[in-house]
Amino acid sequence: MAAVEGPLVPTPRWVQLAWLAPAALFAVVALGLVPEGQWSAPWVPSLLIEFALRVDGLTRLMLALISGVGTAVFFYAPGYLAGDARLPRLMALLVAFFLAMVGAVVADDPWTLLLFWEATSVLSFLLVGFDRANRAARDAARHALLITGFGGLCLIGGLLLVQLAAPGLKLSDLTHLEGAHPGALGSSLFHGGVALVVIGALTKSAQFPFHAWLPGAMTAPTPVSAYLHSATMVKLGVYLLARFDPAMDAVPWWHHTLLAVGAFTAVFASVQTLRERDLKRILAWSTVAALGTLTMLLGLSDALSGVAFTAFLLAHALYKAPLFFVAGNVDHEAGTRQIDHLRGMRKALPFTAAAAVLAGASMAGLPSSLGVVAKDAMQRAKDSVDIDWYVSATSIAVSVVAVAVAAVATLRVFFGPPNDELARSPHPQGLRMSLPPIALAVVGLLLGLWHAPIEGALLAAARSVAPFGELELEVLWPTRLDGILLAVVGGALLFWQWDRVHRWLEGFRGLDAIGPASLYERALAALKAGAGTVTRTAQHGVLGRYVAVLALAGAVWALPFLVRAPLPAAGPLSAGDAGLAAGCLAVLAGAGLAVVARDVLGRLLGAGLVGLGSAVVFLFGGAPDVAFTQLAVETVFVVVAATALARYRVASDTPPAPKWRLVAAVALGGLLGLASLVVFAAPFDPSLTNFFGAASLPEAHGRNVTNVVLVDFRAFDTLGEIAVLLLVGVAALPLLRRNTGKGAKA
Amino acid sequence: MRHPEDTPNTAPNTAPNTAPNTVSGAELGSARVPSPIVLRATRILYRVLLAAAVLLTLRGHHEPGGGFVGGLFAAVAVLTVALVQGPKVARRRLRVTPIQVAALGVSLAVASGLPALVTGQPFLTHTIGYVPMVGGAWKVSTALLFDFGVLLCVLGSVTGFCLRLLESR
Repeated sequence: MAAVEGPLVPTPRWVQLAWLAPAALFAVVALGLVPEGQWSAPWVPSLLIEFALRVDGLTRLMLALISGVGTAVFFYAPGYLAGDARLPRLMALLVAFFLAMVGAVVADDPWTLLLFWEATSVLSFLLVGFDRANRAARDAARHALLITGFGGLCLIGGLLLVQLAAPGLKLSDLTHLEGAHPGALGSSLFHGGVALVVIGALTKSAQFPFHAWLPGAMTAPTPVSAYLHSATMVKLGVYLLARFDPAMDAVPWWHHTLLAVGAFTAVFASVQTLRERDLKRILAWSTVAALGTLTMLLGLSDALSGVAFTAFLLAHALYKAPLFFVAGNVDHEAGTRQIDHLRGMRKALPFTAAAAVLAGASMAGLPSSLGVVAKDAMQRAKDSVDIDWYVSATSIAVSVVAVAVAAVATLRVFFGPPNDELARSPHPQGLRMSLPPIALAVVGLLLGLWHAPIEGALLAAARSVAPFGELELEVLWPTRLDGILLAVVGGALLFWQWDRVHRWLEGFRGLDAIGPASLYERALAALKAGAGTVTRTAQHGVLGRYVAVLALAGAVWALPFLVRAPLPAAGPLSAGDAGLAAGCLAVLAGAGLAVVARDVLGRLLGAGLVGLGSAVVFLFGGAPDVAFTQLAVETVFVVVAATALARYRVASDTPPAPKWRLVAAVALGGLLGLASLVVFAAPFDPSLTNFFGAASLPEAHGRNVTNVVLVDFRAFDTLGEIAVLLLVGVAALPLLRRNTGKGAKA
Repeated sequence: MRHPEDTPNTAPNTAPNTAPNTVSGAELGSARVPSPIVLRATRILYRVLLAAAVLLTLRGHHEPGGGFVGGLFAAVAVLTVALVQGPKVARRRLRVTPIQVAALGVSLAVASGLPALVTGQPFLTHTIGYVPMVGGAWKVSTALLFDFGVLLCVLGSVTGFCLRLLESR
């Protein structure tokens, strides 16, 4: 992935300096220059939709994450893809993604959020499929887009239902839902809507059963994996859940769903972590496990769980992003990410090794790292409420695996005797590639030792998630070390026996066969096969069969309604009826001629006679405009069709049609005849006719009502119709060109 | 009075009094050579039909008629030429491609709605004016412009498809 293909291309200046944009935002957020508050502008006032923004504690934390990790990623990317002609494209997409993320976390109106939410999905698709010559990358991108796109649809439906129950709901209303929208929580619409929102959030945060796209997304370049698929975008799902948590806190299904889904995802992903050999995929699965832990924490209803949630959100980003950088640097240097071949890399990559150790310490939750703060808060949150046994068990299991993964990513890869068989990259890794992982990991460790700068921010964010009154600052100091000790010892054992455990777990092929990943594959294959079958059976290309199916289906569908409808009563004849009768006779004669004629020209003339007869009917029926048009159309049709038919050698004597066609023709004819009789029997509502008749001359200065309706009252419709006429010509005429002689113009 | 376009470009350069009227068999679908009577009748019919198309459209606001049927009459005029003298001659009568005719029609219809926007009314609200002319004031409206747009669009698409059908072999 990191290998440079083709000639080296100088990096444009804007790409080199792009990191200044998130850095500026980070400085503004860190200095506290972003005031808390709300701001909105009207968007679709009739639907109560506003372009509304809001900043609170959680928003600030997310902004700091997005801009802080963004600075590191934007600084790293030009080094990682140095000399690659595709670098500007990567950078442009990353900048767009950065803006979309910022928009998503400051959005207050649900539809504003949705706009940016979908933008991140699309940008994720483009970034996962960045290496578009690579088939695996394209498949992974499609997988990610289908899953998150499905989630986006669920989110739209959910937000619609929620807004039906609570019109004009803003995300900031969710902290005091009962006050802002009384009764919303009692409405089943609201609960159904929130359930759909949960599905949308679970797809975004790669929770079971929608998790499979995230490990696949590791085909993306390292900066993308570090930014989108560990630190920011996948957090958007849990962020939205955190927004709904204050409102849904008292609802049992909310807890149980989040606890169950989060716990199962965490355990499932931890097991999958042990089955991987690819360093980047190991990190990806452990990210899924971390997201499961975050979901689980939201399922606990307690003030401390809010602290645990925000602390872990921050800690995870600060250790997982550097570990992805580490994986990228190792891949860049050694050309492989398989942990079987990687050892003793510290000599080649001393700075990366240091970053790995620091970030690994935080991931393992070793004392004096931000990771331990998060873990401790989690443990106490769980202690303070009555929870099911499986939540505690899950949390311990996930911690053990996290320690083992941290050890693999640091000790196994960087220490021990170097592997001399590995190729060495000819390109030395400069400041751009070694500084970002070190910087993030050091920040993560320093904040663990010295909380003061972030205490206020973390507690403010926690209050957004769990507004249960005042929290004490001491909650951030670690008090319980037994759980951490257990995790470290268990993780060390697991690391020691990693290969044996891996081989044992790898034997469980069933996990692959029943997993949602293979379900996705099978669903995709079934979709293609199903579409093929439907197309082959429905689009057989036999004209007669199309008509017969339409006729019979129409008859079966409409007959039950038609037979019960009243038929018109016979009225007295008038003078105009003679003309109508003449027209009808002509139609009948034409139809008969078309049936009995043995050659094509005779049938065509019969069809033409039907048209002329209907023109006569229109003329005496009070629609001279239609009669004119019918006459002109019929003339053109018969003459042109006759001339064109003369070109083709059409057999004069066609074999007699099969009997079923007679049945179909009689069914269709009878149906249409019956339908017209029923239509005439229905009472005619003259209000439109009267309106147009009365308004035509005074308002549109025309006496021909038909024409006035066409060009004035309904001019927009007519414009649409002639535009369709034009488009049909533009689209169809080039297709017909194939049959013409050389040099014909369009 | 002979139209220069009446001469089919596929005609062999033979005797002067038969050559201009010769149409290649491939173009017409038969080896029939139109007689001078048919040719002259076609030219007259072409003009009469075009005049009828314009008249039908002009009077459409008050009497039966309008842009749609006018467009069909104009198409019949062009197709008459195509049937007698071949599609190539008919195409030359149009001067631009049928699709361009249709596009011009749609543009004209859109343009007829624009003056309303200037005066702050909804798109396609028609305005009307009276121009003094011989025989009294003539009524002119943007609705008429719209109707001629319909005429051109119908003319363009009908001739586009029919000429293509006549050219197929």
